[in-house]
Amino acid sequence: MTNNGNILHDSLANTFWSSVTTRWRPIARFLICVSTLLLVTVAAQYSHAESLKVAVASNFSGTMKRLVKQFEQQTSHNVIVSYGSSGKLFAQIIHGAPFDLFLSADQELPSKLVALGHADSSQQFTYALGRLVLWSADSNAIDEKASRLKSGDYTHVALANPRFAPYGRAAIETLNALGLVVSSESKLVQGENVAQAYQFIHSGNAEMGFIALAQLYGEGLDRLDKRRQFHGSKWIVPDALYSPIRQDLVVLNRGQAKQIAQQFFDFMRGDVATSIISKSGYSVSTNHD
Amino acid sequence: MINFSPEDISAIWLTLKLASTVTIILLLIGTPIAYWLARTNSKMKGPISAIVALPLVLPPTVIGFYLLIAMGPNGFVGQLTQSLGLGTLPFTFGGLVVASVFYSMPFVVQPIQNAIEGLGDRPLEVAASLGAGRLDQFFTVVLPLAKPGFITATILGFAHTVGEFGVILMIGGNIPGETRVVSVQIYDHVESLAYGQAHTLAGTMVVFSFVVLLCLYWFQSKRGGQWSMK
Repeated sequence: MTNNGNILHDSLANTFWSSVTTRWRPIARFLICVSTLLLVTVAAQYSHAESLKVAVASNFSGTMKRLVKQFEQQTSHNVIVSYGSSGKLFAQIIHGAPFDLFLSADQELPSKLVALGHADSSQQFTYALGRLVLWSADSNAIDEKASRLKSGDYTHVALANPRFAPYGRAAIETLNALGLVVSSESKLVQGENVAQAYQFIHSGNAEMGFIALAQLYGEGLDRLDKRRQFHGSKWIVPDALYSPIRQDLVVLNRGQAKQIAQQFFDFMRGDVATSIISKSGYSVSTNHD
Repeated sequence: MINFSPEDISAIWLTLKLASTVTIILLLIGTPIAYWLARTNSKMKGPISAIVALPLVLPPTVIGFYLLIAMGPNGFVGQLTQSLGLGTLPFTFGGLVVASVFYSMPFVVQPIQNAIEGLGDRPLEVAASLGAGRLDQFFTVVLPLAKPGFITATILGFAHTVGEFGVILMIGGNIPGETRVVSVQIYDHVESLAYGQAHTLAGTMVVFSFVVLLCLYWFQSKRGGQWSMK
């Protein structure tokens, strides 16, 4: 029996290899190896029985990594996170992207998802209040009164696109509240999100700019700062100058039936998560509404 | 009827201005490069061809990221432009031109190079034996004979610059009338969920690109196919 099997196997193998000309044989072997490896990796992914897929606004990425680490230690579940701008993630979700939870950079989009029937309003709450900061890579550019911003002594000030990025909107509100009329539109350079505004400032192309305070708490940044002794200067914008940046999360329909989604929802409202979030440059609202 | 907002129209004008400027500059600097690549036996031919072709394989994020650093106040291009009293290039129209020239280079150089290579040595040898100098050879022999290559290069260079997005997003700073081109404007509409406005502009882009490519293929079939990407 085994013999027969071997003979059959051999003849099959021979037919296969003879159909592959000598020249292509190494390439065929390589392709077989790679596809086997791919299959094994994919199979390994699926063997995790319960994994949670979360869509997260980019400004929260550093904090999310810390939260996921903590959550995975506590529960030994697997959390798969996708980062992107809230608007893009929203569009993906309404077109059927397989996410269980959505952590937005604003309150509007989660509410819209509830209104569109992609989520339930009982599972929406404000997990963080964003804080706006004026930051410069130059350690002398910004003093505690932000006088250089007020005097207009700069060529470029960077911000996230106010049309759709909450931190960009807050930046414009701040400029208006300070009564600063930017002399020319070409002085305001817009990144598509705060991450890009950060990049404009970090590379020195914009002397200063408005970003999320949380971005200055990143691990990567700490490393860079130590190496280059590159701290820059900042002015934390007073809360009164802009309307609160409420960042809401919502459990999506796909996550409703999953126990792990509920667990993560509860974890985010708990003390451990709240303390991590407030140490990462956000405020946390006291009333969970 | 199609209803463009004033911002959309400003973005369209800016895009056309950028594409025209870039195409003219590319024809001026791309032609000598293409001519040299087509005629040379130098060992440098490989490396130079590779550099010209780099934007074909590199993602725009890589190009945009390095251009932002190189053209910034601490980068070598930025230091050069500052010492010339030009300031720094990111967030300016000039910066977009420089980036696009690099980014669209292979689309102009390669068709011209192929056309010149297609001529072979013979016409130039004949011209030389009749006493034509190098420049004379170029204007009286190469230019007329390789004309289809130049036309293809012009169309592709222009169309590719119109379709540019990633690099501009990374170094432009989204300034109306200065760096906010059509592709970025469409992105803004989509991100702010203004899908109606996005459709108007995006649909126009599809029609425009289709017509340009149609002209190109119609022209090529008339001329008997001069262009192929190497």
